[in-house]
Amino acid sequence: LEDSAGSTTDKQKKEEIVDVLLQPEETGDEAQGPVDEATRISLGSSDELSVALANDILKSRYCTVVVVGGEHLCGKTTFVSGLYQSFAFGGLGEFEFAGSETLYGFEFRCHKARLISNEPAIGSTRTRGLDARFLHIEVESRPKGRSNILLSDISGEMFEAIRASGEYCASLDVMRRADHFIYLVDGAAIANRYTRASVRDHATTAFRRLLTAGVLERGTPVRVIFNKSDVLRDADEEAASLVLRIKTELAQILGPHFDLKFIDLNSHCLFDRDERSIEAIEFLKEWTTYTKAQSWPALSLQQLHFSGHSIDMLGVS
Amino acid sequence: MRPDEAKHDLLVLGLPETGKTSFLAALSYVTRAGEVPTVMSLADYQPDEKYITEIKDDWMDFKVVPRHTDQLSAKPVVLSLKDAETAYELGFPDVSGEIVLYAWTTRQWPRFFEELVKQSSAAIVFVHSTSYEQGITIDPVTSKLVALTRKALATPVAEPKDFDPDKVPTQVRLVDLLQLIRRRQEARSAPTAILVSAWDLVIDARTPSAWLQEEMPLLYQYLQSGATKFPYKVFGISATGGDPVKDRERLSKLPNASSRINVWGASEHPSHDLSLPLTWLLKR
Repeated sequence: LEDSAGSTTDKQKKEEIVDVLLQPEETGDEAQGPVDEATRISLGSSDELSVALANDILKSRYCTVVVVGGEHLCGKTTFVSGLYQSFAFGGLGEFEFAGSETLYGFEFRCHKARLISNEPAIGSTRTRGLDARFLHIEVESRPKGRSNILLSDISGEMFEAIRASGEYCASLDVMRRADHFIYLVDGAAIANRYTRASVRDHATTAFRRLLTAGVLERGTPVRVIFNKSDVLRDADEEAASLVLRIKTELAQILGPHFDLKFIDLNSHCLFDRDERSIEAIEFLKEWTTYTKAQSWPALSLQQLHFSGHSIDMLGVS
Repeated sequence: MRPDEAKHDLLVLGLPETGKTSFLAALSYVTRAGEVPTVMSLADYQPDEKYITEIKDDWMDFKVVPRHTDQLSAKPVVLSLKDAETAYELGFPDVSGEIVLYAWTTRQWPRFFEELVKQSSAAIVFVHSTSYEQGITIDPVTSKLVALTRKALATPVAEPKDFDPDKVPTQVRLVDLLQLIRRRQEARSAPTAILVSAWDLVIDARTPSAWLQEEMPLLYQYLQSGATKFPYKVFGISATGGDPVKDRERLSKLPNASSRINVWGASEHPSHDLSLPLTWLLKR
């Protein structure tokens, strides 16, 4: 991420310090020359993964791919980073943190949510762009053993594009690879009578588009999360009616073909040491129980096309 | 090297000022002085002991043991120690904590450190018991009050501070570091000793392992989940027995200098034997 590296001045200053630090010791008779690349080893990034890098992980091990979607400010990034934060507070029931290829990516996302957890207008950092990004976490549970999970961090812009363009929607092969699909609905937007109309429209249109394009495979577990449930709880009756209407319509659209569940959640609670556990454990149980890769071990490499880039990705044969 | 001798390169890691050099000074003293029972003792002197002599002298004289800047590179301090069965030649690279510090932000480390990682047969990771970055934590009560106050006063929401990678929790840096190291040690199951330094400052009755579980849960889970392949053990150590300046009077009244040292976690009771973590590592 460009803005995660700090200002140019800070970066230059840091590089200067590191240059000095990493300079080989001068020991008189064995004086070393100036620092060059041969004296350093690159450790690789621990930031978010591009689709290509996520692919490398998929090629090397079984992974559950969880696509987390929703409109702007619905709390996708808070949800994803909150799961990681839950582990930073301690083990989650039967699950233990076993590693991550994207620690920097998680820490970057957690930062603002940690700073002020109960301010929905701030939340975590906003994701931009039409390319999916992934965060990786490895968990261990007994007796299952280790599970790798790739969580997508995709932008609200991507969902605007899904609603607007069938062609774009059809190009989203990352959706086809989704073992689990999470769609977050912004409870605060429902509670606000000036914004609530669009919430229903956006949710139903997005799902219709995804189904029409055939990128959301039948049988995929779909969890629709009514996020910021604390705000929703205090809202008027119209908001409650709208929630019911959204649930009914989505059940009609998805019900016969998908494993659909509705969940009320305040994803900021994942940043609360005392309240984080229950929801996070339930999600982990689901994600470590079902993956397409485990259901169909005869995998083939599919040539997928995403955002105009040709990539190799493990898919279901 | 004799047939009953074993050579081990130990990887000694920790952020700056976590007690690595004090440990080395106290270890070299206690294994030579014979003042308290120790599992390991001096087997032989090394031809060049300038550095170890300097830090040991500082330690004995209640001086704050400084990290000597001329030890920034790979040259390990070698100690020849023996137990009842075996003599060991142990290489302790006194690696600068800054290397660990900047590995997180710069995603690079020196080539000599890469070689150390690849050669090492065990790792010692230092964590300070009170001085570590916890990260910004959330106090639910305070944050709710802040939100309510803002609403009541209709004040604009202040933009939170930018993300500073240098301020991430210490446990995250250490998990990252251990991941990087263990990827390079896949072929062998190098054990890890976690040494929580300045343990005399931990005033409750927690065990070192319980301390790690509560204070650094992400690191604890990471170690625990990988324990089958990479065994680990947590020790609490006090290499100086207290603050060398403030506690000098009290420490000087102890029966001998070795009594300043304390190790917790090796057995039910604390011990003055600072070689116990090494014994555990070498017997894995």
